[in-house]
Amino acid sequence: MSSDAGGGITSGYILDRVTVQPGRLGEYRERVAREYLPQALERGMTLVGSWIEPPLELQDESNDLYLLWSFPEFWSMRRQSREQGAAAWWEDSADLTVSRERLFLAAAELEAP
Amino acid sequence: MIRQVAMLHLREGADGEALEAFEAAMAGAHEALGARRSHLGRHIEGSVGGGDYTWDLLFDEAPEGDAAALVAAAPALAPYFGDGPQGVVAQIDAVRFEPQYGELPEPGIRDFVKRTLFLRVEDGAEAEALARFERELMGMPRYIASIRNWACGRTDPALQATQWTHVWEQEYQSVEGLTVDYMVSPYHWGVVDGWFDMERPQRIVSPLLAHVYCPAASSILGWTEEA
Repeated sequence: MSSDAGGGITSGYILDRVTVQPGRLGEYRERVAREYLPQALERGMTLVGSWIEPPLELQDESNDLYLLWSFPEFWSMRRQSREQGAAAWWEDSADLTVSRERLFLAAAELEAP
Repeated sequence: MIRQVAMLHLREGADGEALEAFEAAMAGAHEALGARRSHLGRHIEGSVGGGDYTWDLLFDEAPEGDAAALVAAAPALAPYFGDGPQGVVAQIDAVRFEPQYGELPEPGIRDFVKRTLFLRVEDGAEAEALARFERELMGMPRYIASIRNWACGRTDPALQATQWTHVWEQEYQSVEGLTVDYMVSPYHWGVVDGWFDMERPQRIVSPLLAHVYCPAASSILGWTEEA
């Protein structure tokens, strides 16, 4: 965690859940890797991992793509997102998706008894 | 009671004695306008989108005419808002509203910082999303202790035409309460900011904002409790 002040932190995780149009998962993943990922890395984000659900690509139905990112400092990332016009990428790729949500997470470790 | 909050944008090059005369005249603005209270605060560096001053007024009843007409009809103030040699204010960006939500746990706060945010919820935002946005916005004081007093409300375009839909105001004992505590709170960036962030699908607030803060000697948000 970074920037402690009054109990505050500005580092954390982002979980993107994107419901992809049937048959477009490969194309969408390729666009994420080629277009979104490089700019996200420039903003200080790290792609922790990506997953699909259910755990195989469906033929005629949607898969959900999960992208888990970490970021070291929220406001720096946010400012660069605005400067890079990151929102436009989501709009440009929206024809490949059905819906999406973006969740912000903080680590909450569990210890085994 | 009606509150008017205005952001004043200065003419380019307005400075020195002209501003001193303007600020002196504005100290008596409430008397010149028939208002109960007034306060003029010069913006602190870091303010964005709201010009140079925050001008707060409290009226017992809605005044006649919009903010520009009001000052134009007040001889003690009009020259500073006009095109003449004393003119220093280029634009008045004002909202009016009846006081709505807020809390005043520290009415005696002194020598502090008042922050004002004008924002616009996009046309077409769903009522459920709007209600949740307002609830989460007004939840901030529960998680950010540096917010000593606060007020939040929808603007009333029948009282003053404006592009802004909401006013979110806070009083902090020090500027760090805003620039540090408010900014590093995960409730801010992890909950409330989603309504503002262009990358997040839940966004309903226009990216055009007026975020300003100014020094004040005694509580402005407490006026409505005194009245």
